[in-house]
Amino acid sequence: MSLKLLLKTARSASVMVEGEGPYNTSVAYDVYVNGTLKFETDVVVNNIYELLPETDYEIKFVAKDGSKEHSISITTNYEFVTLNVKDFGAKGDGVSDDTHFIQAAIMACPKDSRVLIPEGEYKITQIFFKSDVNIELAKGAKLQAYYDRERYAILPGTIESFDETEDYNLGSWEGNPLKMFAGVVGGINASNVTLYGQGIIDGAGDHETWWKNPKIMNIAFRPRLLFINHCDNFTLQGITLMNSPSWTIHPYFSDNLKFIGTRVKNPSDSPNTDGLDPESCDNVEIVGVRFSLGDDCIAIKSGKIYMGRKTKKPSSNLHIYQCLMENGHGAVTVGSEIGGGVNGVLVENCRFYDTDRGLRIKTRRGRGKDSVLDNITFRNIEMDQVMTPFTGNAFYFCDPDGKADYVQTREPQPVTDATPYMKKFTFENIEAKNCHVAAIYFDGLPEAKIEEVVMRNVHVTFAENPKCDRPIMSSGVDNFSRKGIHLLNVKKAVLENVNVEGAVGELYEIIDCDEVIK
Amino acid sequence: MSYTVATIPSDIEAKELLEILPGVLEDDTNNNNKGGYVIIVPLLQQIKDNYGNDSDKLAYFLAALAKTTAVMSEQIYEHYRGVVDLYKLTLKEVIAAGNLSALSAEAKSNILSSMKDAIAQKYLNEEKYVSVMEELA
Repeated sequence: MSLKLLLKTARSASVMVEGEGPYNTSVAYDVYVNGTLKFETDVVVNNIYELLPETDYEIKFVAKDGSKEHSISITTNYEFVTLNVKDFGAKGDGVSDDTHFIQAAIMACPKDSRVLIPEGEYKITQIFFKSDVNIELAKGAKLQAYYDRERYAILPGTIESFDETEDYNLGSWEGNPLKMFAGVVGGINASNVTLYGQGIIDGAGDHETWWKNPKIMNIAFRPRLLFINHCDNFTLQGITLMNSPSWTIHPYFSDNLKFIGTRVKNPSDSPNTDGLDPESCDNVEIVGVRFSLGDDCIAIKSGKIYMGRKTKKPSSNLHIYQCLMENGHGAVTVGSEIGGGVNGVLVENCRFYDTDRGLRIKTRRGRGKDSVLDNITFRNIEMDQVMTPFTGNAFYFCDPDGKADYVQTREPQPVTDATPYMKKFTFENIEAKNCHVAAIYFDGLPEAKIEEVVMRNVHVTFAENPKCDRPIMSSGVDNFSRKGIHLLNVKKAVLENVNVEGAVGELYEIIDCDEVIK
Repeated sequence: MSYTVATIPSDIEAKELLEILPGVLEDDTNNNNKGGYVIIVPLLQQIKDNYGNDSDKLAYFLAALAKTTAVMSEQIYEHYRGVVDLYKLTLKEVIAAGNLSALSAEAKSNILSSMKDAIAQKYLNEEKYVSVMEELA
């Protein structure tokens, strides 16, 4: 085992203890930086702060029981200048509006430099980052959003080009180009941005503010806490994000993204406060992130019908590892806004606790031929108290017509441009204990069967007093508990060393599957 | 006669279309879970095809569409956008046919009012259509 460097800036580093996990280490460690004890840890991914630019450091992890130690040597990056927001007029007193002082520092920041937000509470409406900027939210610093819709900037859904041939899309709500408030923190068309530190961003969401009548557009749709809109090479490291008005982190048509050692905390009864929802994004790394919230922890998307058809940009090449996902509906959800498809998701070495589902795939007729879900792999996952570890639902009853016959019928329908596709799903080395509803529940379309479901070395046990619920949200699926493996409309199922203990009734309910290999 | 989206005949008179379409879509939006949206664009396309090149009918058609988009929900965007795109396509065809000043007073009024509605809803760029609007006024 050794330490792997995940990220370094001029002022920080992120390292991972290799061969450990998921999420937590097997033993507690003392962490030394150049021989000085800095902190203790029991997690695999760690961020180290208060470093100086262009300086050599030896980072050493010493097991508290003396059983092992790992070290790595790094040299931090070059930094030209630091711009302290207090030098630009910010008070950080928890009373004054510091928005434009912080914004001024960001706009004034040259390349290879840092905007420092030191300890203090900074009241803001919205902050926009620009290209080539590093923003450090230091220990004890908090960006506290106001709740005042009248003061929030709006992003229109689309603005037509003067020659009337194209649209410029800014706002987005549930997969459609609709007007929304700009993010509490966000960037548009920005590249090479790092937002990092030990501080907090608090979106001021509560049931009297953003979460009241959450589905009704009031001036504009609710803002994201962090909206990364058509950006490239964006990194979020550290930082705790909490009380988000709606989805917490929303990367939108953005590529080359890293989320490292971050924490997302929203109350379990907060509406639509998904943790991290990459939408039509390529090359996304999510590592060491802890989610605790009220909806899906990670929801991978690619627009609803209009955006999917128009842009044909899938979410692709996502690597999610060493994360802890607690509470919420789904640990990792794919859909339901997936008009552009999803290709290449690897979730490994993660732990899911007390989520309704582990993997939750939601699609339906109407999403369209560009909505192809392929190469989705889960491996080395531990789950505890997850209602149903794996679900795939091609009959998800979202949208006003979601319960219409043509969406819900299990009879084959003509294959048209509106038909979505589910291709290959692989689950390997899965340990799911104290489950409640079903081990695996996949319903594919009869006219476009799921191409392949592979399960290897999967062990599922049920809770002693299991809850009764629906494994998927579609018509005709009732509440039950302790169901085994249900596969409907799958071309090829490979079930190798699949062990489900305590299922009620037949272990396998395999219907209209062309080939089953056990 | 009271209509739903599903019962609007494709051979409906243009003047009646203007009278009923916005109300029907408003009702569908508020009381029918937008269940009629899925057929609205093909229906309107058929109605438009039936009107052919009759500028008086197309003018009513435009006025009807621009008042209808104002009451539709954008949240099922593909259908809302389909109506918007059909409006713009039709408007461009009417303009391309030329000789706007020779249209009937009723047609001019309907087209002009539709353009004002579309501009207010921010899907028609006023800057680009000033001269057209002056010709119709």
